[in-house]
Amino acid sequence: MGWMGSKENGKYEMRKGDTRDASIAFHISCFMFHIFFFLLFTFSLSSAFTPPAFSRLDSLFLTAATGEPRHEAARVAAERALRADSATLPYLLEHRLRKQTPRQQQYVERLFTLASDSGRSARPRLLLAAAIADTGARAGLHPWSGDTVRAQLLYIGSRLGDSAFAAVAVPWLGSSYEPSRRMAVRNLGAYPRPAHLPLLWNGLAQTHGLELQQRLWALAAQGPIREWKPLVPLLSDSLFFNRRTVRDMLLKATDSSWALLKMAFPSGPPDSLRSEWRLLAQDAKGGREFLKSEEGKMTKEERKYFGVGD
Amino acid sequence: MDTAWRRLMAPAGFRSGDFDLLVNFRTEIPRTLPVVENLLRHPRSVDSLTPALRAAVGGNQFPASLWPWLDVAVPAVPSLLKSAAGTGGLRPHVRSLETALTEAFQAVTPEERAWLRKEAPGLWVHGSEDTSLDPVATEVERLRSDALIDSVMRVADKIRFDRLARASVELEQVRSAVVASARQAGPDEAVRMLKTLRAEGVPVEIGTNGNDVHRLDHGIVFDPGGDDQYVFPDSARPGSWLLVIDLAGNDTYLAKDSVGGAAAFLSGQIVDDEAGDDRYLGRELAFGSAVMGYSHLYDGGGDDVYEARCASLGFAFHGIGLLEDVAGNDLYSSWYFSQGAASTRGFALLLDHAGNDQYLSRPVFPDDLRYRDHFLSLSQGFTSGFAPRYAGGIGVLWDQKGEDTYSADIFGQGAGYWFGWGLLMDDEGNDKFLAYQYAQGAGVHFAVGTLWDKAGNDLRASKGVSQGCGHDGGFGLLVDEQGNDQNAAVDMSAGAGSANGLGVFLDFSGSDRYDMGNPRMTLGHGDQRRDRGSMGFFLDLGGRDAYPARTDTSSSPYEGPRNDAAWRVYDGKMRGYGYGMDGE
Repeated sequence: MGWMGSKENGKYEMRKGDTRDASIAFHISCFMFHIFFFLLFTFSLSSAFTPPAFSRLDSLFLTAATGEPRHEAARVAAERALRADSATLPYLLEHRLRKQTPRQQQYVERLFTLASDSGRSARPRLLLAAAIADTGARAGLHPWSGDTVRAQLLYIGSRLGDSAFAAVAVPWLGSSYEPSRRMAVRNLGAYPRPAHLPLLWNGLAQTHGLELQQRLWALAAQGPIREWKPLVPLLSDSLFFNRRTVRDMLLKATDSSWALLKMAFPSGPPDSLRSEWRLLAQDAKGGREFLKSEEGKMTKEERKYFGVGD
Repeated sequence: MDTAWRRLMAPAGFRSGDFDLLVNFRTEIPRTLPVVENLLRHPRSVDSLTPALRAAVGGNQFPASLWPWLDVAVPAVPSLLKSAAGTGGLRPHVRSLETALTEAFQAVTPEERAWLRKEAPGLWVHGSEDTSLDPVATEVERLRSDALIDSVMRVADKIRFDRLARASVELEQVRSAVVASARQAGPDEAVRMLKTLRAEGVPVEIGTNGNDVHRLDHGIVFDPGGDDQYVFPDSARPGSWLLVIDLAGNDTYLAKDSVGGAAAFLSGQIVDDEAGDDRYLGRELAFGSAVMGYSHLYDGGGDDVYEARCASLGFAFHGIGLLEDVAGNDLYSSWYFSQGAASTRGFALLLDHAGNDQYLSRPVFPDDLRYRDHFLSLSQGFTSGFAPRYAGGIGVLWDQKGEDTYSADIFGQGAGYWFGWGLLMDDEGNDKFLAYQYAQGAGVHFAVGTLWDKAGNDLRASKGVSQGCGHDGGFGLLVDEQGNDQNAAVDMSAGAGSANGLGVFLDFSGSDRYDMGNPRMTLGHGDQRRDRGSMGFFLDLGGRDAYPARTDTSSSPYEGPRNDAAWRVYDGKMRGYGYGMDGE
């Protein structure tokens, strides 16, 4: 039966001699038309998602990475299976670096760290080093190629507990991509040794923001700084967490001696820098006198905060 | 915040730029509202934004004044109030309303509307079956949900929100004209006006003074009195509009469906019940709930019961959802993502002007990710986006008077998740706030959460990540202006920052009591997790307060929280930038 009609004189004339009310045919044809396009549209929207076919390692990973307390027993069992399987680490590099939830991303780090066993096993380090080299070679050809993944791999390396990984990171100190540089620096702090000091001092004054934070953290991780005066200009940094770290490093380097620190006190500092020196004096041995001498320059709130005056 | 800045933050060596919570966040999150990004970059702007929001809600342009908060200009529409009565002047506005609605949704095909009606509600409805999924099935659901969200967002992109805003203003104008006519000249005059409108082809249903049953669909329903029953349609009516005006009686509003029949789903909707002890009984997406639309439920008085499940009682996604109750002792009861809760590009508001009210988020969906014995609330001034891709909106619960009780569990009472702002404001009365985690001024994962209490002797209790706590790039703020309050928490609360977050607790006056289970992680605490460390500030600026006894036996010169003192907590390892101050 053909329901495709044509409209003439306000009525639909049906083919094959159908004599039923043409308006019914019209409504049904409209209905069918809409059904067709609805199904087509629904299919096109739904087809945006095809349920993935998970491999055995996928299932183990997803189970082990869950944080839900009710799945704890399954999680432990899955983690045991992943750790026992030599294919796990290559699988993580191939499939679990991009488009993961934060928890899954952290779990990748955890598995590498567990496999490294504080550097007793070299395999995680070697695999990471190869992958880092590969990110450049495969740039644009692989879903996880490129700078972002390299920074991620360098971060994982800093968590391994394998000090030999620092050598893998060093070439990336000069990367044009700031997160890669930052993660390379992180490795120098994670695995401190004297040879890292010149690398960290080099260009420090020209470093800013979180990259400076990472450098300062890595420098502090090397132990007390002998030549601390180059740090003093960094008290003017625009970010509190950098200024705070510099103050900590200065205090540690001088054994909190205000007598030593005050030798670097600049003449006529701007208010913002003067504030940093007050904070330094607050934590230094013998700094109280300096704070008292500053009382006349302090606001009421500052006097209360530093506990000077009334 | 300005007080906290002047008294404590600046003396402690902070500069304004130190509070930019997005300083190392490189990715632009789609659909972040400008006001939210401003708050994350400049948390001190909460000082100007909160009063501005109060002015927008309290001003004579309300509710049109809310559109700019969604980055949509307020449409200029000629006022009809003075000319409508007696002239039949409503028709041009109804025509304009219908034209604007048509234009707003013109690009959304009938097939897309049908598909949205089927699929979209599930985005804000926590299925009880979710808790039975194993981790692999959960991952499949996550991926499926991600694909669904992308598709829904693509459809949302087709909507013209400037036209939706215009439609909303026209609908409010028609409502105001009819109600003003009934108030000034009596119901008969309003009926005369509506009959004129009906004669012009507008669907209008007029009830009686008896107990009527109205089956709602499209157009205007007007009822002068009686204890009536209103039955919402079984499914959404995309592209349509609905205006219900009930002048008196103890009425019942029933919404039995779960797919948006009682919501503005790609549509405009106003329910105005002027008086009576009413019951609003719904399921999902009901009562002041909008999905790509505009919804306003106004109740003018009486002791009312509002009961629903999810995405209800002031909920919005890509649009505005309002629930406004003027007077009476009311019960607001829902399960999840409700009571001033906003999703992406949504402005949700639950505004209660007066009465001793109860806000209850019922424990239905276990918080499987964290606990076996706590439940997801996501309510009472809350917002969430779809992390990691789409931002949240602005979710507000504002209670202006009365002695109120707020009860939630996980996420609520002025809490935000993922590039949104959740705000709970309570102006007067001795109130109780009970929650467990991520509550009472909690900004979580690059979001802002604010609890602002102006007066009253209040009781606040929440276990952790609460009471002015920012977590993972978030900003949490609790402000209490007056009253002798009791605050109880265990950890990461009362001015606490976690994982690069900023938390501020600011109590201006009153003799307050602080019962903190772990004083080392409260009352000015910042942890050192992540790269740059977190910031937590606690200030109590008046009254003789009771603090927990110091449990720290270290030789630190800082003696911890006590009256008339300033303190800081920092070791550069586990404990970051925690500061506190008590007294003038």
